[in-house]
Amino acid sequence: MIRRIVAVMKVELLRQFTTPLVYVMAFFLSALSGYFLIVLSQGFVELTLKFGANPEAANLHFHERIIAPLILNIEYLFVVVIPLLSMRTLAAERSQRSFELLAASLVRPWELVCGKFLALVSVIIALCSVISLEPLILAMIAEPGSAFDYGALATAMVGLCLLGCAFAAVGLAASALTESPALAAGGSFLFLLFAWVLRLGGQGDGLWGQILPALSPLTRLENFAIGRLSAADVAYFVVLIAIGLMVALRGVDRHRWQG
Amino acid sequence: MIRAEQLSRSFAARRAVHQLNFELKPGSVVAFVGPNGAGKTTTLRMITGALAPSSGRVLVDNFDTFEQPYQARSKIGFLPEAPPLYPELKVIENLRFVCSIKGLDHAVIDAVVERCELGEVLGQLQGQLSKGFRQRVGLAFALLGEPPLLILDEPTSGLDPAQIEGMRNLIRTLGEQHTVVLSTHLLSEVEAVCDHVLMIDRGELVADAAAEDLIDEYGDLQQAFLARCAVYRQERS
Repeated sequence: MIRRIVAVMKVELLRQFTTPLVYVMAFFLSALSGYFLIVLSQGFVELTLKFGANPEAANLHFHERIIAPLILNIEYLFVVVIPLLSMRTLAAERSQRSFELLAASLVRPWELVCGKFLALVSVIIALCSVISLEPLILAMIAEPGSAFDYGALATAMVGLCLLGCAFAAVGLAASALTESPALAAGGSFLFLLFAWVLRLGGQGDGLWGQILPALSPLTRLENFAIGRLSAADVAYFVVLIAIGLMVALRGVDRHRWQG
Repeated sequence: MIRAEQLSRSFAARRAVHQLNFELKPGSVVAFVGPNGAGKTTTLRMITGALAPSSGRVLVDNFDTFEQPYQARSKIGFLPEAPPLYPELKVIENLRFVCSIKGLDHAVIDAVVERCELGEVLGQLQGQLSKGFRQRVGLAFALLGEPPLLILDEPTSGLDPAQIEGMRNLIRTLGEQHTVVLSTHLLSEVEAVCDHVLMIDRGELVADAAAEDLIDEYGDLQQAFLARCAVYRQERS
């Protein structure tokens, strides 16, 4: 069982890394997150110069002023990047007809889905590691004794990884439901766009103003971003991942019934 | 080796396969013959367990391919019509993957590579191979683990005459150690390699007999197919 999951994961990773997409996405993410970091750092420096005598007055907390906004900006990039990374996972198996081999093999549908998902998780962890290098470099070149909160950075990165995994599960589900990778990317992008709209619902007043943003994965990252680990947020992401994987499993199994 | 009982499959309103009943003994080369769209591939996919029947069942070595799919599949090596490969990976990477999902040691690859004469293309990307080599790699996938039953869907489709002859020789050799079930619409292929013939037309079985017997009775397989189809169509109408 484990061997088959690992085999599916390894071959999916090979497929991901033999196409330029992962490298382009890594470049795109690190370039843009680097740009965000520079802009946020400049703003932080300007505030420091202005309120240097009294940092408390401007609430000049390094993590909250630079790292948290950086993470919250990267989540928008994930809305675009993750559907592109996940679009081929199962849809291309059908379009390349390699699904025929898997459907007639000893690989169980859930092993296939788990293997594909774990491959995506590995890519997301690799991307998050690349992104986390930038704040770490900033911490290294910061003045000795400046208060860099490594724990908060770790929490924020865990949150970003969880968000990425939840998006990957959604992307995998979309990829399982169609033969076209482009359609899979479009479908998961629309879903994630909807999640964004849910968050915007929080700008209104009333009951819906409270409920809608709570349903959005993007809102759930806010606590992680400021270094606050919440069981409810973790549970939310776990549930979203489980739903995505179940839909993907259903999509894979459907092939056996519908041909 | 294989027993089909009242096997049927429909796609929406279209009836692809209707109440097939047949039994295949081990150690033979059997051809599924019929025109395009007759239901050959659908039947083979149901035998492998890749497709669920609408009704009826298939037993492979006494395992129901739908109720006990993994026990049944462990007895089967399958070559689909389009070789099921990852074009962006090398041949050896594809072979290692199939080995892993079959739970085999990678050491068994060498024997299959030699048998299918793939040594020169192992390091090449799958997508860059000629049709003939792709078909051989697909066959190598099926052979990994030496399953007793080989199911080959249109194994010579798209090959040039020299490649067709090579593939037929390989199938003959395989028939000495495995039960081989292949689908084709080329009757010359059946005469060249098969002992037993299942003729299928519009999803129904019109003949289940030894190739030799059909040739003796009708002169050649084409006449046999046309005569059997005519009888069935008359009965249906």
